[in-house]
Amino acid sequence: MYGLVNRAIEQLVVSLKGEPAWRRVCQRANVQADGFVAMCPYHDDVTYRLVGAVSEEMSMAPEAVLEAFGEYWILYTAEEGYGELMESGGSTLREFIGNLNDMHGRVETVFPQMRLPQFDVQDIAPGHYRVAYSSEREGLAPMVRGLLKGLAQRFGEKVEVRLLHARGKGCPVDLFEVQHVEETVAA
Amino acid sequence: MNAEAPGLEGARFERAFPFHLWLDGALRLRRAGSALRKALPALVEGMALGDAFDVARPRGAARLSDWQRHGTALCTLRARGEVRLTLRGNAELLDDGSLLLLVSPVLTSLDDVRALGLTFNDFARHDAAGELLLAARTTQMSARDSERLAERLQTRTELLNSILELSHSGVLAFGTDGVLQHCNAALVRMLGVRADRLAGASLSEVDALIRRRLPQAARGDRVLVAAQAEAAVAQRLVLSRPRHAVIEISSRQRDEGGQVFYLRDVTRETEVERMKSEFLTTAAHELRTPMVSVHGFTELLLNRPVGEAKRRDMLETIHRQSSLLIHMVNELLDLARIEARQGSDLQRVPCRLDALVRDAVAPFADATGRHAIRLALAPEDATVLLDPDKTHRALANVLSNAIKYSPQGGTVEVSTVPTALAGRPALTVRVRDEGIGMTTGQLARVFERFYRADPSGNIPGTGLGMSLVKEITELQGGTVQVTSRPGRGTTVDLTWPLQRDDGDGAGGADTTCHAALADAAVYQ
Repeated sequence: MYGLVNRAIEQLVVSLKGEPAWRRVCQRANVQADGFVAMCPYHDDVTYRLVGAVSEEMSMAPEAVLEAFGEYWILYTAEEGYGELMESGGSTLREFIGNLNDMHGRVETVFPQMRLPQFDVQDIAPGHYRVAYSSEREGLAPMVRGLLKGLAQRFGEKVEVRLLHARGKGCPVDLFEVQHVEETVAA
Repeated sequence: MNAEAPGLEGARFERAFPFHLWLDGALRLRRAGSALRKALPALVEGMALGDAFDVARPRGAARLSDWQRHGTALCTLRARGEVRLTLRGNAELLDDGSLLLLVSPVLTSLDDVRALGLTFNDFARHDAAGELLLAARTTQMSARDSERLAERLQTRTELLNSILELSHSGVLAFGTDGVLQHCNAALVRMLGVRADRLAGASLSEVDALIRRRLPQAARGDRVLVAAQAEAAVAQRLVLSRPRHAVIEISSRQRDEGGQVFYLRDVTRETEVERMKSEFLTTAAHELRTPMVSVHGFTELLLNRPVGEAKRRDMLETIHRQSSLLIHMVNELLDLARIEARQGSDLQRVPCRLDALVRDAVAPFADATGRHAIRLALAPEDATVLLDPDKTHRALANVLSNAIKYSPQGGTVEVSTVPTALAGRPALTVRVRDEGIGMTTGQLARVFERFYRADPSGNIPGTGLGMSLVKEITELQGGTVQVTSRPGRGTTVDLTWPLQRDDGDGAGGADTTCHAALADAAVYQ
């Protein structure tokens, strides 16, 4: 993974628990706490070790850490560095997901070693669709759930995101269902 | 390939050139690309090019003929008004006499894109401007990350350097090329070598330098190489130069291939281990001697009928030997307690040393009938901060030795002598006997536990007395000095600094101490 991802994990921990917590995470993960360079590629193992250590530090399941990280990524990290790119993705969650592969195509030209995932959208009804996520990496479905929730928040939409099928034998993708929630106003 | 170039019409042309400008022969606007209209909403059909833009290249072009002369060279336009926009590209003169400017905006950052109200979708897919700006943004972020990383590394390097320099252990770090990259101050001191002599040295050169500091007989094997080979086990070396030292070397391979050696000076702990072991052996031996005697005599008394006189004689021996055992154990416990508490339980109060000396001497005054104790004491107002009980114990031990080691009798002179200790006025209690004295070898071991100058055992004692004297004296800021000559006697000096003069009149120590001795008496 690029340093950008590890740096985002650092920012997430520091923003929630402060600098000392990040030092403890690095100690647990056996990673130097000096920081990461956005454009440098790091071994995937570093990221997985960091997620495990954050999970211990925050007493959260690794899946919950990945989901929180997905939301944080959209709302802070991507916004901070690549807000303009995000804006080009569209003005609704559905439009954005539809343009995601195109956007990743642009990102690949900047980060040639990045192995980006593929997203395919299948509409069921207005405000109701399925998102198939496929990636070379394993175990990141909770992060995608966080990303989708973060994106919905970015566009001011209320959605429910459900993992219909996890990838495994006979199913090469993680399949999510996204359904917009109607807001009810009490009389 | 001779195929005709494809032409683009309508929406296709618009997608390919979203920033184009199409002008008629009078250089009035026929059409502008959708993205350009988004960035410059003031552009309208029929508007003169010169009203919307300053033409930088071809410089000052006002007529179509100027553009004809310029040909296909680079053209540059700058938007007039508040919007900061520069367009660059090329001009194409079309067959109908119109001018097509195929231009795109000059953007230096993603902020420029935002300021123009544009998004990535406003650029043609073949236009890599957006990606280049993304790359530039990422490079900027990486540069900031690198700066932050460099600052953190600098801080950590300084921290590690401080730790290394404060360490009492030596550190040698070699790079992958086997050349010394770093050594600390402790290593330089340990090897007694100038730091600049080690700079750039190879592993084998440093190895040779260490071997030259070993005793001649141990110089054969390469020490650092051995430590490398047995990385899991620390190697021990005994240096003979620049001073005797026992060094433990451990090593670790660095991830990137270099080697780090850690040299720990274990001289003191080795010595302590040796002394502890020797002490246990000696203590066991010393305790066993009286116990064997007690055991032997009680066994005799239990198993054999003996006469009354003999029985009494045996019981007296048992009593004497068991008393010695008790005394020895008490002294060991005292010594251990004093050492463990390091003087924290001392009850130091201002004492008149002459009074302490008199109290200590009194019990010995008529002890043997063969010794004369002569007192020569300094004035009464010289006070020293001491624990009276412990000091009494130390003085009594010294006096006891003076009498015991003068078996033929003689004079034991006890005096107080004004002196200085670490630049401060001090007072020495000097006990001089005319006894058997000690050789230089015996003198060197006088403070060792269980060491006795009389190996015959004729002179009773535990061999712990002088150890106690040393502990008690030094824990009270004093010093002990012993001088001796075989057959001529021994002199023991216990020196303590005088209590500081706080202006209460109790001091005046320096002058009064130099006054004539106020007291002189002979106990016989």
